[in-house]
Amino acid sequence: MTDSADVSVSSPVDPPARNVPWLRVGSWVVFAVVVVMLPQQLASAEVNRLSEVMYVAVAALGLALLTGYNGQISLGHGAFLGLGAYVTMILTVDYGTSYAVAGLVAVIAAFVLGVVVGLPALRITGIYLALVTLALATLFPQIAIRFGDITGGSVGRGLLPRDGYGDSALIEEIGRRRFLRTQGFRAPDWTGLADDQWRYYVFLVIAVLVFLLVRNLVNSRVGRGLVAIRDNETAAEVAGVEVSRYKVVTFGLSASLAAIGGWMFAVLNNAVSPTSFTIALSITLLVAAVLGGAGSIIGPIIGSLIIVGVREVVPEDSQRYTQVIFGAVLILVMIVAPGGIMGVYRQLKGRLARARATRRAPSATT
Amino acid sequence: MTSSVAPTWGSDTVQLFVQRVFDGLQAGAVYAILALAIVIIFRASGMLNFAQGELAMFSTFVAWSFFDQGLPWWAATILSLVIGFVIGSLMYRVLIVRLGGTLASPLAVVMVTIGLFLMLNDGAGIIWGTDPAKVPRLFGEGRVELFGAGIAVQVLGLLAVLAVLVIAFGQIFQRTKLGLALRAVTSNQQSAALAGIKVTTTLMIGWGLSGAIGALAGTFTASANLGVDKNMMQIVLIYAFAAATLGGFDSPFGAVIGGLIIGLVSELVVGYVDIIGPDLRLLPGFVLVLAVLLVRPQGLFGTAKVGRA
Repeated sequence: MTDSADVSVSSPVDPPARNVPWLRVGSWVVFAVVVVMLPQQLASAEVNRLSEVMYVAVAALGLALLTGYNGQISLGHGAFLGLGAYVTMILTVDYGTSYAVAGLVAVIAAFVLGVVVGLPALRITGIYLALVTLALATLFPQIAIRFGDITGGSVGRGLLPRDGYGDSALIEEIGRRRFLRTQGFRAPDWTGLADDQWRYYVFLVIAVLVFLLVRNLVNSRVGRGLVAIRDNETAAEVAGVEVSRYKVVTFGLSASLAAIGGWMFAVLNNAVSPTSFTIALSITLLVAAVLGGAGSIIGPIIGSLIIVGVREVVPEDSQRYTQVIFGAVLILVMIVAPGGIMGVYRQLKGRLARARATRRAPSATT
Repeated sequence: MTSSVAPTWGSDTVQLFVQRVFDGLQAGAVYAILALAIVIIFRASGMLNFAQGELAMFSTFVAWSFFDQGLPWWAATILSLVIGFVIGSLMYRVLIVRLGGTLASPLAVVMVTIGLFLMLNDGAGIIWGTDPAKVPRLFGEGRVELFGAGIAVQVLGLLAVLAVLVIAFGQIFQRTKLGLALRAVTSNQQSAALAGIKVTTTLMIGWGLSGAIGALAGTFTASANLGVDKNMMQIVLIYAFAAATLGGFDSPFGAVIGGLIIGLVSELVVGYVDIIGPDLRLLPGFVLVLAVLLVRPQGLFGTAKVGRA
């Protein structure tokens, strides 16, 4: 943003129209129209794929807030996502709560767990936090299996209430009795939308809200505090930033965003199982954030799009190669372009603006 | 057999307890070995290698391929040390140096080693498939009787290997030129470089040694499970981190003691506390780590660092 301002100042010959970023506004409008129109044009499977992008993006955005802006490392965000998904499934299926209430509980639960995990971060430096969160990521599937009478154990949970396990007649009976409230996330009649389209629009609204929340947060006084802590904790403390409170609350908030992603996961898949929330998920979220650029808010969205896109493009029998590719990408990005795609974009933009400025400068003096 | 044991205690109880203690020591010795590998790197460069466990698994798989071709298992085990050394040193030379060596940000090192974690784990799955790769016990199937419990010779052999490793470790660091160079680099890199020590080469050897020792943890884990599995080291890695945390990340002695304690505690907790049970095997270690980090971040035998921003 400052780059474009520099250009217009140093080059008075530019048409005044440059002051209004028509290109930027225009591309956002086009983007918005496309995003809203897409579900009308695409097949159901493709719409669901885009919904998948959104849940990954929301969780990756939470991770970017924590890692890119606040400099805290988490290798365990898959666990927070899993927590959100499990809470949503258990509450809606076993207790018949609405999806909204389940989402709220999931967010609060993840915030509390995030604060509990983030607390030791105050006493220990970044690398130990990575260690604790790695343990959390490895522990989470084990906990889900251990408390199998609630979570469904290694099989996981679907739309059937848990009292029906193992008895087909009972399942049928309970299923009939509770069908209305356990049939998953359905589109209301007034919308005239198919379930997948309705889900897509709900996800879109949530994703946009989360995006705006994170954007406003990082552009605020608090956001500058977060970045200050990342760059130099002592200096931030001296400058009056409440380091401890900021770090813990950021961890909790970041965990909450991952749990929102988990809520979306449960709504999208109508099922949860421990194998979905292993360490591999945590790393995938990290790849999404880092590849796109963890120090930006658009970056994680781009990263999520790429991750889901790669999985979509790679044929079913070669899926096992995707993890190897993601691992290689993570290494490559850290070595070649630590700022991710958005980092590269900013660099290019800066270079371009400088080149333009220097090209114009001599002509202005003559 | 039972009549010779003191009857007041209930010989079964004693037998079970002895059995669990040795099971715990067996697991703990493996954690100790991997923790030792972690500590070498941490001491030399202040980094944690999150791919340490997967590196061990990968080395073990390569060794298994030779075993599968007819090489005896003991020879394959020794070979795995060489493989671990090569992968470990390459990892430093090819990747970590590019991040700026010891000046690299912790975040970057975590990300790169995590990326390697993913690559090695799924790479092993692609190369060797998911069929179990069977492996024998290095020290055979023999048993020695102790308080009525049969203690596997494998466990005693493992403990002996750990002892040898600790002594060799001390000798290398205190008595050899390489050890001196490693200690110099750890203490102050610039001064070491000025004194004519090739820092990159020394660190490369350090990472190689760590990879070799880690590979040993891999082959012993495979021996304990009687097979190589691509996910076998993940939980071992968590325990090894726990061991290093407990003992202090800069203390090799602490890592070994920490490993044995963690192994014993989790085996006994899992065995005697019903609510934890085998499904939650990781929990005692996790709680222990959190407690240590909160109460005594430098660990039992580590040196507290006086921070300066």
